[in-house]
Amino acid sequence: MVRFEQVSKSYNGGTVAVDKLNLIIESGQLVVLVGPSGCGKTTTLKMVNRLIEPSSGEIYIQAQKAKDLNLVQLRRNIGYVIQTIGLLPHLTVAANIALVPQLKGWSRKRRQARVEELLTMVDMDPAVYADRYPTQLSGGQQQRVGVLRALAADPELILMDEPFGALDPITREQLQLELKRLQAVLKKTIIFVTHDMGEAMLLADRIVIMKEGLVVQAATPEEIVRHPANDFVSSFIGRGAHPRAVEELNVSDVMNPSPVTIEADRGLGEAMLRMQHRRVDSLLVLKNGILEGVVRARDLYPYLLRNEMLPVAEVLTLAPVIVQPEAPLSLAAEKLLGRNTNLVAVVGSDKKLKGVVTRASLVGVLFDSQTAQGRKGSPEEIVSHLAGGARR
Amino acid sequence: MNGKILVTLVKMMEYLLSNKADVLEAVAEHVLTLVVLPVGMAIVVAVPLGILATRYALLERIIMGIGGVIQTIPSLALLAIFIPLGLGIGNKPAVVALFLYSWLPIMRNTYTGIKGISPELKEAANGMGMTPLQLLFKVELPLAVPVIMAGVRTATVIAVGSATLAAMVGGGGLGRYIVRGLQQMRDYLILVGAVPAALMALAADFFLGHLERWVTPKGLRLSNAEEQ
Repeated sequence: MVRFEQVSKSYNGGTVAVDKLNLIIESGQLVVLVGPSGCGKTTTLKMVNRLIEPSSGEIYIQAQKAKDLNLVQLRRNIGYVIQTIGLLPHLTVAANIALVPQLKGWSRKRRQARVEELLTMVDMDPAVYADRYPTQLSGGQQQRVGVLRALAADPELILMDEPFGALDPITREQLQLELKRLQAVLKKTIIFVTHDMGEAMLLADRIVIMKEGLVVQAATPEEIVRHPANDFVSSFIGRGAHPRAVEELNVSDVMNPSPVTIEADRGLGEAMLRMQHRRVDSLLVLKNGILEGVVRARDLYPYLLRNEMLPVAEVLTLAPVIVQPEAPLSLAAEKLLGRNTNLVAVVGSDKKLKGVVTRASLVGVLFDSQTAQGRKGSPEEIVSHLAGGARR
Repeated sequence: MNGKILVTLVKMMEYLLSNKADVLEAVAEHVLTLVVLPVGMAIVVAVPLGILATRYALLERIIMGIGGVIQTIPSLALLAIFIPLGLGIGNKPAVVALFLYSWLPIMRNTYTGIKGISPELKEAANGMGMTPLQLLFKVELPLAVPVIMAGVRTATVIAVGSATLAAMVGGGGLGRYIVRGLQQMRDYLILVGAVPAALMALAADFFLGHLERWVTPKGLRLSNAEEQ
């Protein structure tokens, strides 16, 4: 257990990074400190292993004051993972992982066994990876090793400072899931800093939202979503500070303003590739920004098989369902549901494409208005209510 | 080729062959007394000073200042100045002057090598509970070694060259032949000193370049290869 008692950190210039923080982190929990940059989350983290010393207040680790513990011993008993990974480039993967055990004087044999155990845990074959150097690994593999290094001496407490922030989105997601899986087994006490609310939601047992050195809300992810403490929390979790009633929304409030498009004179192969990359099954076909139609993956297959060199303009079949951006949301909802189509294109009076509304765009809106307005009823009921409203 | 140069070269070879022992002794003196000794002393002094300079900003400014001044003094003046300062004529003023010359590149490279290590890496090492000494020997020095070695290489090449001037203060070495050749206006004698000295500078550069790569930790060599 880690306990912050009236902990403050201010710098000579008078800047207050952390202001009279009180916080209890229960053993075995993964607690995420989250907030915009400069909110004091990293400072809070680094005060635990005393890379930063508090200006006032006490931090307790178990029952002991952190400042009374021997600095070197304290740090060797706390795992530490940082954003820039910080593997020592002149040491092998095995030596990097075994660093703290080595500092603690473990025997060579015990270290080697531990390295193998840990690498196997994240599906990195020790025979392949143990003797590699950090530069021979991908970014994701490097940070896996970074996490293993923190776990190596089996510390009770692990600090993670935006550990996945520098990774590409796909690798980041993989590592997040791996951490979740490891944590389910290992049940460490983890303090995890991020500015990414999605990451916090995914990983945390408890989320501590910070702003300007203060804790704004500390609660489980579910509580935060359902009962945000204030507008700052609402907007930080991406809900919009003042959700409006569904009836007041129009199409432009809800649409995805950057749909996946293709110019009419491009080839079919390129269209296919773009769908693959963006993971969609249809593209909006444009000519100078003006919507020409929609091309769907299943319309393309026959042409691709026959190896015909045609521009997408030749194969677009569907006349897209169109609404204006100023139209009420209910109109788009009705079209989506009524005509059984996947998307409704939003086209302005200048005939240019402004965005799309899909079923997915409706979900967030429904959720917001449902919780904010205390509205009763399932999403399905609201949708049919919406669509019905348009028909009336 | 100009006939006169050819004659000079033949005379040089003749001299080298008939005075083998003498020349070899001069080469040995040049290498051991005028290069290895002063550069060795410079390494012993400059590496710790360079490390200290990374710890104390004031010390860094003082040593870099002194080093800069020394480096600006013309080499002949530096060699000569220790004669009236009590060291007399011979090896001593030459060794001291060459030491002073070698010291700055090594110390400066030690400093930049350590300062060039990313602060995040050092923080990670600190955060894992390394003591300051462990940080120095397990992280800072291994990572700075290639840069320090580059400093040693520069210092050595400079020393091989400047050592030819040592004969002016009675310091011996290959410069002896050059000085005598100039005095007696014998071109071939100048070459007896100059050619081996030039070859030695090239050889030192070549071998220390290889040594530099050899002492670079493997993990760093790999990353350098990737960047190129």
